[in-house]
Amino acid sequence: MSNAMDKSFDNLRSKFDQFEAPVPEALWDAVAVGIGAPVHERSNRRWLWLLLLFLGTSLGFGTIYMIKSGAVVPEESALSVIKGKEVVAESTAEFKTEKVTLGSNENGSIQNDKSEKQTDDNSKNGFQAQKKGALETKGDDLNEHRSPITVEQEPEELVIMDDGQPEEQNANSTREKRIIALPGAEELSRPIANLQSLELPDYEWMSSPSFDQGGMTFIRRKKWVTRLNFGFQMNYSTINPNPNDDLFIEAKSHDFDLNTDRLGLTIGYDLWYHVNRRFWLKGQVFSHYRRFNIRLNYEENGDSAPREFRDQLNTLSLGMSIGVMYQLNPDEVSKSAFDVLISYENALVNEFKDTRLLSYPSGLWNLNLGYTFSPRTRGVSQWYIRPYLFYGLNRNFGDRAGEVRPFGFGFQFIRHR
Amino acid sequence: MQQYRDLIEQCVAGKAKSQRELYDLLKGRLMGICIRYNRAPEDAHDVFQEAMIRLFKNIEQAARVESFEAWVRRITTNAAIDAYKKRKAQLHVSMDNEQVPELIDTAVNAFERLKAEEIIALLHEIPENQRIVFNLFVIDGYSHKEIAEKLEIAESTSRVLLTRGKRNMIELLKKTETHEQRYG
Repeated sequence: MSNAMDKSFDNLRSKFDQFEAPVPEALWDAVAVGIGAPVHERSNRRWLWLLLLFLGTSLGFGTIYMIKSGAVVPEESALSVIKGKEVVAESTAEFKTEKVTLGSNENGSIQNDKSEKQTDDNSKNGFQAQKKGALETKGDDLNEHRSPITVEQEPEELVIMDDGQPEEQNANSTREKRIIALPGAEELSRPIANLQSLELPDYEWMSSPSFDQGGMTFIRRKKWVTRLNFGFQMNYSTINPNPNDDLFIEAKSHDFDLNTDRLGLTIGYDLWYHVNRRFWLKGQVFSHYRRFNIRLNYEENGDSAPREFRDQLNTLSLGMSIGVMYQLNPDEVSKSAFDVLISYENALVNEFKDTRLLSYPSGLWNLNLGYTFSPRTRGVSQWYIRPYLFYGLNRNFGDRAGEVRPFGFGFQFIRHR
Repeated sequence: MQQYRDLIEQCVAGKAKSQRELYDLLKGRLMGICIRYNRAPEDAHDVFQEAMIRLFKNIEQAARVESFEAWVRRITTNAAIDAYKKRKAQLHVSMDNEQVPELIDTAVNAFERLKAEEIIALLHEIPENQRIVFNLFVIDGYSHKEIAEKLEIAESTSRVLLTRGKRNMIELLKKTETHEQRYG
């Protein structure tokens, strides 16, 4: 029987070989946190965040717009508070006040009854309700009240009063006891004070370093960001003849060819400072290796035979640039931005010095315009790509026959993190 | 196994999508082990979570093991044992000689008819220390020596606990049989 028992327990083991039990979905969240994986599917989370951003933005800007443009209270809705009743309120100030009786006719339309004007220097204590219920508004006729009413921030401006001080009776007065008194037109027209615009949270989408399959995360935007970059550029030049010498130069070096003998390299380090949601200050230190393919014909004064100058000249420079960057889509995962930079570079190697003809500034100022974007592949790229244009700004003929002014385009690759 | 290999390599590379895929492949099997060792679902979930985290944190080892499934089972079992050891600082077992009642034919048949879920229900009815040893010895195939090392108890203690576990399981089985005979 012992064998039977052992056999029975052996069978028991086999029952569990493929046994599976149900697993609550929520357990993945805990596991994911433990192993640093994203808790939710990327797309779900992205849409959730974008939806929240959209709703938040709409609500925020909508509220600001409403407040800044003034809360327009339609006549009918405003008056609906007192529709069907006749109330009287009294002005606070020494303005001419105008008694306006509001009521509704049988089919519910609003009636406006200008009945009397009076000057009141006595009542300084805010709105007071008349027992009989006609509403006196301050210094305006009803038509003026159709204009937008500016909402005041201070709630104490809204006074709900019980019985007011009795004054003249209106023929249409009723037993109304409670009114809602709005601030006078003068107060209503005051600008809104102490209202700050809403700003989106200082967060941004970034790709997550823990996975490269399109994962991303929503992180607090850093104030300072440093980024390594490298790239290449195509270097061209215009050659401006020196008008003060006796050489006539016909340059050909600005031909737009795409030969590799114009290909230069660049490496640098970016420092970005986040100014606000869209603007960054951008600084950069860099080293450029530029290659120029110079071709020109020249003839000296009195010499009818043109000569050709053809050479490949290189420069190596260290420099720095500073500028601003405008982010087009700060709330999206895939970023893009325009930037404009002014850069200064000092030539460490300047092969133009060896030529008799041409000068190349040892201290070169450049205007640099770029467009930075993060390409979408399968997921979110860890890199930015920045195509850019540059153009030399300074003139420096020196004692040479021609001045080389570089320009060109290039591509930088900037690491996200 | 090749399916596992590819996923493991991608998990080693830190790819989140593959981590989730491997999790989905393994989760049912892991939870099956966890609920064998733990009566309370919360405890089973804790062990499951711990086992999964250990698995992914040591996924590089998985690429080198001969049997990935056995490796996963071992990790899960160890997580269950560690959780049990945390709960029970010390095992106190009286060492009285005990006899395991013999299984009569009907009981043998009954064992064979039981589904895994029903066996787990029986396991949940026996004391935890017996359940742990029963699981380790009967279902997961550990020897008394290995169990003694894992639980930090004497081998004899392991034997006693197994004997009691078996006895209780048989008693429970008999009750089940009787119940079935009476009430169908």
